[in-house]
Amino acid sequence: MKKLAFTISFILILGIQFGFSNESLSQFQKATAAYDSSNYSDAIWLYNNLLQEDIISSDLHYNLGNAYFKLNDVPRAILNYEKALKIDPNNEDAAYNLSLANAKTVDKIEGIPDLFLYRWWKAVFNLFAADTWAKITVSLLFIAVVFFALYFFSAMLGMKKLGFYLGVIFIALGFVSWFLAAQQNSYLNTQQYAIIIEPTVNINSSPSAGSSKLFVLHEGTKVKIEDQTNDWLEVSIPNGNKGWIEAELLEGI
Amino acid sequence: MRRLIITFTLLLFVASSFAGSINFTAKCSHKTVEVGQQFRVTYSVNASGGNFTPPSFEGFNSYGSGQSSNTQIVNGKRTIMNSISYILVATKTGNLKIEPAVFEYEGESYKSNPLKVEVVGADENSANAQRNRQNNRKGAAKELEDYIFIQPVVDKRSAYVGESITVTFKLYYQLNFGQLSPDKMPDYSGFWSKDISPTNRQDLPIERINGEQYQVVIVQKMLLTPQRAGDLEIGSMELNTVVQVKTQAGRNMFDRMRGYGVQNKEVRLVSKPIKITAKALPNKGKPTNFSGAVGQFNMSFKPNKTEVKSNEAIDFVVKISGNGNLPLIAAPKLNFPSDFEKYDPETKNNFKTNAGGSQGSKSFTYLAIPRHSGTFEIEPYTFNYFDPISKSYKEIGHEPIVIQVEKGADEENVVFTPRNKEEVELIGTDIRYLHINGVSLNSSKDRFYQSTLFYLLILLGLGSIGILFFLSRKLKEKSADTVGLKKSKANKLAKKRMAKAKKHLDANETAAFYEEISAALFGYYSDKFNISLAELSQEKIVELIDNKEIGNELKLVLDEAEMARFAPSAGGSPSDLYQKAISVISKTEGIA
Repeated sequence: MKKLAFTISFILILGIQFGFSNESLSQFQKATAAYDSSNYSDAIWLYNNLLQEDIISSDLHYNLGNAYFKLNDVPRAILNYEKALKIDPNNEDAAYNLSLANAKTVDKIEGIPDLFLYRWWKAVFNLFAADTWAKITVSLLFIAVVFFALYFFSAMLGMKKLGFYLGVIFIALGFVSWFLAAQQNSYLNTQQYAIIIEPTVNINSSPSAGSSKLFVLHEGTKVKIEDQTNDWLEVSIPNGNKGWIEAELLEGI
Repeated sequence: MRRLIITFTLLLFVASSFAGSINFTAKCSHKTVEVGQQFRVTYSVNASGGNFTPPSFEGFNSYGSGQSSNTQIVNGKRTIMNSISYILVATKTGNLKIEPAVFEYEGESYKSNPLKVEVVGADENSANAQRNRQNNRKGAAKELEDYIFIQPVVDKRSAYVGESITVTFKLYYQLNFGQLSPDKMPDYSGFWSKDISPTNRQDLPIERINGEQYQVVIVQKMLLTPQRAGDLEIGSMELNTVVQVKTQAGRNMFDRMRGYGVQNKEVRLVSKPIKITAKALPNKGKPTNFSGAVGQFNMSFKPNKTEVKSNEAIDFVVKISGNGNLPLIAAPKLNFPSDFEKYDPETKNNFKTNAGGSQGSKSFTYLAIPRHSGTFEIEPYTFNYFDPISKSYKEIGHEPIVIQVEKGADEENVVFTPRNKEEVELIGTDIRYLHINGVSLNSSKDRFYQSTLFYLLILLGLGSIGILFFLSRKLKEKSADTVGLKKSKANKLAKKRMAKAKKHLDANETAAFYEEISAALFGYYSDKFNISLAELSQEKIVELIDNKEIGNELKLVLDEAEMARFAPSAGGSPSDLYQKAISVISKTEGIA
């Protein structure tokens, strides 16, 4: 059938990898060279340039975090390790270096870990990037089309039944995978956590400079963003304390 | 009441040269006097001679009079001013009027202006009143207490809590006295007190009380500050001393030289307690964090440096200077950022306490050590105080202080060193190296998810399912149509077969109708199964149809038609039978 040929050609198109430009690659290599010659500021500049081009890469953030760490800019090192882990939770080196960077921070806050259900859910949608999930979605959908064709046109009752059930299952799987792509995408694009960049900051009781100060946090501490107004963020720390902080004092992960 | 009327005649020798108008005025030394207090009324006239008649001075006792004359020559013109004054003592309270005095001069009489004096009740502690009471009690006879007594004098009788009052214990004496030995010092409960007595014996000018001259010396001078609101009392002071008293005997000089005429007598001097009204500070406008300072102050708040490295100490100095209850000002509570290690303040006093209160400054030095780098703003400290002069609260703030803390030497170490936390096992480790191979540098601009292509493919997939569904529906419809066609053909055929029967039914020929029903049915099945009418029987047809339902139905119709032919009254209506016959044929056509 003609349709089948179309389907196959589309799946083939999806399989093609998007190649990246040689310019990006040469910048990346220059940054590595700068890092190797202890020229960390240059490395940071080059890595940041690459990130300016909307490149989403766990490794790039990991390398940038290393350069910051070498310059003893602990909060920005932590920020980039966290970003690397956000994009790729399985970046083991980032997790290791993050633990070293965290050891250099001042605040030690005992927190409660996420609920295990949420951890599992995160592990599921973090299995693949949003793009991969999207490709899986389309593939599943086209497989479902094939099965539905079987259901609609087969003269044999057995084949009809098989085609119907498999078609429904694959279309359902397709939608699940689409939902996971959306989850992964929103997880990457919304900044749920932030790292304090300034050495010492006050956490206020309300979003105004004159309000009373609740507690003090130091650079490198990870806070959860709960709410925000114009220039202020409501943040909470793992032990449950909440307060408002000027948005410019921290940077979202 | 003793009335004294004095007329006087002034010398006439200057009268001839006098020309011009007569100016006759009365003047009073006090507008408000206490009962028993002496004051002076003076009448002046710019003329010599004439007769002066003083008023009756009703309500006052008059204690003699004095005259004076004053002549001035200005620009060759001579001015004479004659005056006469009276010492008066009021005997009752109220607004008393002193009638005008009358002056007769060259046949004309002039009246002075009337005077008004407000007489208030005697202050029981005033020196005058005390003297008077003693005089009244003892009559004219003088006792030892009239020659020497202590009198406390306060600069004010009512003060705000925290405002300073000065009390001076004065010793009035007309006799020589010996060593003063205190027996009981005054009770200053309710006050914060500070002795500000002069270090050397200080003689005050001679004072006159009831016409008697006393020498005065300060025994004690205290600065008092009420500590609570309400009626407070400065207790009495009791002193013992020895005085020299002249005796009646031995009045001649020789006796005195031998010491006979003088006798030493012990005397106990007791001052009267004084009531002080301590007013509570007004609640209106009272700051919630009121410092308790009363007076006039200035405040400064300064750090000794504003740029430091972490772990370097900073001195913050709060200096309060001015005039008021400085000794009572406590160290202000300063709020340092919680990252600062802070110590209790050190207090330095640099003030003098004298009759006006305490003057000078008091400074508090706070030592604080920032432990981390950053920019810190010291919360502004506002010093507030009560100003008893303007009777209001005042506040002094200061410019915000920003402390810039740089990273100290111990914070600049690039090599990994953990803080004092549990991560000790990580000593000597370093971060892992860069990721350089297999790094994906895809730009998110080329992302597939949420791209147009993605949505197109989704639409295509769902759309093709829809299209497939639609196509399969069409196919089914087609096959369903052949069945329908067959059915309509069978119906047509049945109607054709029954056309004759229908004619008879319409013409109401019942017998012919029943006959034709049977004939038509047999004819149809004969054609249908291709069997000659002679061979065809009811049983044969049912067998050939091979369908129980239709067979039964056919049987019923044939039976009913047979019955009706011979017994027309039996069975249903002919039209029902007609319909049933058509249905049997249609159904038979349907299954074949």
